[in-house]
Amino acid sequence: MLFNSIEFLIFFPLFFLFYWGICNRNLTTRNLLIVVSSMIFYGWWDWRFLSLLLFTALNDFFIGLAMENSASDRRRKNLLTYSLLVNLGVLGFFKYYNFFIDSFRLAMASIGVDLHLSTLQIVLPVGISFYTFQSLSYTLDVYKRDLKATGNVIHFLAFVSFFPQLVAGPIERATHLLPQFSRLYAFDFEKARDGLRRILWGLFKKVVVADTCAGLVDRIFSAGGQLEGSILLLGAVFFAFQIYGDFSGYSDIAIGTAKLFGFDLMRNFHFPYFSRNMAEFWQRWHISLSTWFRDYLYIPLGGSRNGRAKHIRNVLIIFTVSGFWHGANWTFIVWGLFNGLMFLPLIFKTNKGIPTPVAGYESWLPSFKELLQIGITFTVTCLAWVFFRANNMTEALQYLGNFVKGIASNPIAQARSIEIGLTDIVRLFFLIGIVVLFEWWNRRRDFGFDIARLALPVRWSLYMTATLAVLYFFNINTGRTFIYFQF
Amino acid sequence: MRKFLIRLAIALLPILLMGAFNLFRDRAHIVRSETFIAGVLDSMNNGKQVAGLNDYNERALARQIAHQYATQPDVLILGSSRSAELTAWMCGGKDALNLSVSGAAWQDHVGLYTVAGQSGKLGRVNKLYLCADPWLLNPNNGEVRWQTLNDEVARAAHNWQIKGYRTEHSERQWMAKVREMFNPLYAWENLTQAPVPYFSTADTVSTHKLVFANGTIRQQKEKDVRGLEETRQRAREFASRKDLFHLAGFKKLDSSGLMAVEFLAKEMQAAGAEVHLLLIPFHPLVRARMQTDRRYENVQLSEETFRRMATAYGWQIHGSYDPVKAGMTEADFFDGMHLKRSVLTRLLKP
Repeated sequence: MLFNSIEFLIFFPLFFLFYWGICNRNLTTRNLLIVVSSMIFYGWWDWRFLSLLLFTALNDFFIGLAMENSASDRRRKNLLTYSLLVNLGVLGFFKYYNFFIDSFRLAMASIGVDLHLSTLQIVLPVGISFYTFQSLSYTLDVYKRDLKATGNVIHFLAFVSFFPQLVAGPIERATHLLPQFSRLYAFDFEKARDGLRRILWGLFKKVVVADTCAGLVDRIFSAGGQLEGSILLLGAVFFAFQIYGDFSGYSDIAIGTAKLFGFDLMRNFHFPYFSRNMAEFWQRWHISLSTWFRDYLYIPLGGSRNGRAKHIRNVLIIFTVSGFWHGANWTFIVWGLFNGLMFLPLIFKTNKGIPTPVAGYESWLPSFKELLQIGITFTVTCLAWVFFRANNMTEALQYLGNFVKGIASNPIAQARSIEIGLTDIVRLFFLIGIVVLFEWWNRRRDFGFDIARLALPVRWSLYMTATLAVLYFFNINTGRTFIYFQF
Repeated sequence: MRKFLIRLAIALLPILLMGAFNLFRDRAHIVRSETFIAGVLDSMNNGKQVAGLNDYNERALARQIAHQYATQPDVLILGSSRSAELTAWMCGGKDALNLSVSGAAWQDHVGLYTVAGQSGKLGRVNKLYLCADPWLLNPNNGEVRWQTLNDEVARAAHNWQIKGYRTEHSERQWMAKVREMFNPLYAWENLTQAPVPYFSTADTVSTHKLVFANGTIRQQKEKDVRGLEETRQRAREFASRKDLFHLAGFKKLDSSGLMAVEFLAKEMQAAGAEVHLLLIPFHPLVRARMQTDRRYENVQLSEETFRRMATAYGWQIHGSYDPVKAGMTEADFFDGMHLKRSVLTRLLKP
């Protein structure tokens, strides 16, 4: 079920009614409602994969219990290894099997060995990377003794399958979210209002900005081989805002939805395009995944300890693995590696160059230096997005090559050749500008549409305008799914 | 909780009012299409024509016309607005069922053909006139109105095993209707444009567009006599649009469209009907744009493909997208892509 669908518009009020009206008096009943509703939410896409979700969750539930009841470190380690093998095995099969077979066959062919290995017709279950990592965080935390294993299977299933963040995150930590299923909540007006505001902002970013960007991005990238010059840079910039609007929009809707029911999900985006260097960018982009890799991979590998060489190795490993997490394609691996390489210069810098928590911290506008830093970081990010968006490496390299080759060409003429008019571009920049303006204005706050401090008439006018814009664009950009569903 | 729900209700009130207003006005008969179409058919059943129809679901009407048509036609016409004025005598038959709908995609042809079959109207058909517009083969033609016929299309696509065609992407109709009720643009149209009431008439020529009981359309009589200059102006405006009608993104020929046309026509041929493919020309100014703008080079390829198919299966072909080859001049059009009714007979000459 998509957040931006009519089905969800029916599902959501019903869930709200049952949740607050009937089920919130008893913990088990409430959590059971969450589990059943989450199963409906997920099964709406393909009910057959519910078994996979249940298998992953139940497997980790019982491993957690076994670990908790075991005093032997060796046995605990074996159980963790089993959990890792099962979770990564399932992920590996559904997501990476064909990639590995193809890559192995090509590698063998390059040394003259012709292998006849067949690939499989595998459907990638929606959100598998998200719920696998979330479930895995539980066994890892129980193993590290950061968390006591739960004995309540309903609580655990509710934690793994919680529908607001089930298919595209934020990837919650068991230490943060699981205890929230052991408490009943009273309805909190402020929290619910904040949640609605967040949902509206998420929908605006998704339906108005990301989906409008998508139309132009698709055309530019599909004609990338025939185009040259700055139109290709424009394509990368639009994609940067498409993926931001799409993914951060989803996260905002998820966080807002959870708030309506009393739950707090972790922040997933923190105005990443105002970052002044790549380190800051990665502290602000897909935070739940970055911190997951930091805590469960980077730190166990040694992090920044044990010398600069190992620090560099560890940075490159987590960026590459992070890229690979996104998909079974060399483009994602190169995207991760490229980001890692862009991150490396910061390791050698003693002064990290970001003395304040956010750009323009004590003023309305950023300083010239900050503006330059933001510009450079954004440009590097856009170049990296080309690999992320391209279908294969040949396409990505051709895209970048054509960009350099025709740098002086007229972007408007190029745009016209693929049926994009100047008005399309101006309109899109206007929509992007609205998001950038609001996010800049609220950069010291939790999210871009944090307008509680405004006078009532202004606030309500903004609610109405945003709602009408969402409804209007919902009718133009129909049925676009969220990009991160494929991961 | 009460405070929250009250505020939420206040916030939702304007949206609900907008929805209620759209539902009440519904100038395009989106929600009440069945009642609307039943009314139109009632008017037709008295042996009269219906005038003043505007902003309605042509596919839904065509489906009902096929179901309720009283006789067994010997000519079946499937096409777009470019073939909507064809009549039985133009096609050399006695009784024609014309299921042409505006901007018809291959799915419309397939869907309405299935409807005709389901309603038992194919038994005596000995001539099929299929309007082979170039956008039938454009996978990016942007046409979605055929989704009204989703079930019929899906059935035919399944029977003929048309590959690469998926129905699950088609949005369910009721959802589209709900969404449209909350569309601010539709509210604006409902507010600023009054619905035009339809009426029945015994006239066969009118200042209004007429829809006949067999589905044939008779354009406003003004269009039959439209002057050269006005036509040229309309054609120029049509040709200078950013994208030519339904032809944007025409990068390759749609194999599903080709298969659909082929299977449909072969099935009729196997049932003993003559198959006539119509290549209705475009106005010379539009044709010039097609020839100079390389984004439309597949229009020519479409014509060649249709011709090859017709030759291979022994179908008759009429006209060409090229007005010169089709023997048409500027004076024969009333806009950028529609021929005047008076010259259609000339086009259909063998």
